[in-house]
Amino acid sequence: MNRSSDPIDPPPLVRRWSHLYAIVLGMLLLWIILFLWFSRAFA
Amino acid sequence: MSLADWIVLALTLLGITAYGLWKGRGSRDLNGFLLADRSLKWYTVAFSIMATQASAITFTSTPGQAFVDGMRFVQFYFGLPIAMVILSATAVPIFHRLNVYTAYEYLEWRFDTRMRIVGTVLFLIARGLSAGMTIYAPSLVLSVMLHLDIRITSLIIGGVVIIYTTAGGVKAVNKTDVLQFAIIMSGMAIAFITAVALLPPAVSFTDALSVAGVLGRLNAVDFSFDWQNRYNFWSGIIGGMFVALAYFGTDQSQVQRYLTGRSIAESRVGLLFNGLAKVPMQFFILLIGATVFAFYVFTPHPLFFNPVTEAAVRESGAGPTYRSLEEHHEQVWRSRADVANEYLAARHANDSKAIAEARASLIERQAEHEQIRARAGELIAESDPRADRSDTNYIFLTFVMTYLPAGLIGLIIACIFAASMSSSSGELSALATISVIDIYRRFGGSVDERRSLFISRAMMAFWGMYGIAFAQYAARLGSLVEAVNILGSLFYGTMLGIFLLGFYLPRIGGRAAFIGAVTGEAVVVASFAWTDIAWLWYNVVGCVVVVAVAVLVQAVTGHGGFPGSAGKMKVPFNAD
Repeated sequence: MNRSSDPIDPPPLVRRWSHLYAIVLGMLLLWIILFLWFSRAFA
Repeated sequence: MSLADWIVLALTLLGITAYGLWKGRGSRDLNGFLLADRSLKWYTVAFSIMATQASAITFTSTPGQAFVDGMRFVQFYFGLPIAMVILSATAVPIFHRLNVYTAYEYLEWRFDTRMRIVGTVLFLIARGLSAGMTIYAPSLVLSVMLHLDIRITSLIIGGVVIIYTTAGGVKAVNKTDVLQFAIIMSGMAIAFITAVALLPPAVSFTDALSVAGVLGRLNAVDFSFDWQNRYNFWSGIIGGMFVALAYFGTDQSQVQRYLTGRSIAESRVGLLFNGLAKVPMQFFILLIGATVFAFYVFTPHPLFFNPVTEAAVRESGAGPTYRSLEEHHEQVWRSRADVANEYLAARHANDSKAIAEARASLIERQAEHEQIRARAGELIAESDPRADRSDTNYIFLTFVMTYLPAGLIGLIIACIFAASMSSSSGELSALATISVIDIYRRFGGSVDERRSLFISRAMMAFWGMYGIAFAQYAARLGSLVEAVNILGSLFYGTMLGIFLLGFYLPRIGGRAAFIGAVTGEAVVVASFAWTDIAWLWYNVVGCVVVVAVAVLVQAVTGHGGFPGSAGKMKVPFNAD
């Protein structure tokens, strides 16, 4: 199968879907840490 | 509103209608009308998903929520990115490969006809009830703020949506969602910049945040656990994840958005983008509310933000008491503003003793301020038991109508209209699709494409008119409206449990799933009636009970598991 025409291929920026999933979850963690800092910094 | 505002509002509404008609042209068969020929790119899917979820009330009440309760509401969205990852990995490829129009077609393929009916009925009750609320709630707020009859505001929202959805179908819905989302976010960004710019000259944005923080409005993360506390980290990440799984994985108004993706990859990236953008977006909207709060610490504001309710209580027998409460409120506001200035001066001078003293005093004034507002709410309820004692929906719009320059007020009001239309159009298209695919065509209706297309258009118009009619008469229903709203939210846990059985437990058959679903729903209703747990947990409870009971029943009866389903559908499972 020609993988470039496979509609399940991940976007060009990532090699595997799991990488994109990790980015989404990593960003969530980052936001939580940022919000935690934000609430404490101005409390 | 000035003439410039009315012009901006009229042009935006006309622009949305014209754009929807233009983008939706050329839908000549059912696949085109109900699924946009499965041709849309990821960004259309992503912004359509986000615009459908974010209702008008999101943009009116969320800043108000930050004003009243702080930013802890953001935690409700912590579970959403996790749900997006789970759904991208599981639900998206399953729905795509089955080539389904609706999520409930899957239930027949996986279990049996009875389970498809269960899914369809639960959706029609939940979404049918909320479709009326989606038009009613913003119509009410807009009618109060614009001094228009609610029949006019609901007719504008519902009328515009009916025009472009019946003409262009789901393609028009999704493409218009993108435009509406752009309008909404531009309006919100402008409102934020204006709120910061309007702070007193001596108060910087950091100062404003500092005052809001001391007064508990920047409480974005709270790790304490309490079953009755709606918004803490745990209810957000667990309860919020279950809500997001149910909403995005089983509710046709969302499933339909990503079924229009041109491939599994486009739909997946659309959902994952939502997972990336939703949390910071909600944080930003809450930050607008916190900034408006800080603005009102230094600027006088009405005791109660709903002008119609406030005028009514002033005219009532409770008028003299309310007016004396207003005078007291003004004194407390003035004293709080003075202490806030002292606090900032101490902060600028880096005088830790003065900071601590001013801080304690500021918190005391705030408590007093909140007591007065609570007393005003009680007084309003005493003078008219049917009146809404919460003014959360009116805080942000009062700020907009009072302080934004001409033209921008029209843009923000246009945002609210656009947000209600984007949610409403998603719901109407989903309800129409279910009516045609899961009821009309499934139970004996004609499968002729042209006839089905005509029925689909008629159903979009029908559900739109139902929404308008609901909005027009809801005001007379009083507290029944609230009951209707609550009822609609009690089915998500059960629905999620059914789909989880389908996706992950292949041994579970239709009968076990049905018994699990009935038991799960009964437990959710019982929890609602007899316990005090926060509503976010209903979804967890319902889902867990459905899965546990189905597994138990399957273990006892031991037959009927997948793939022995009696569904009549022919499934092209390897459609890719």
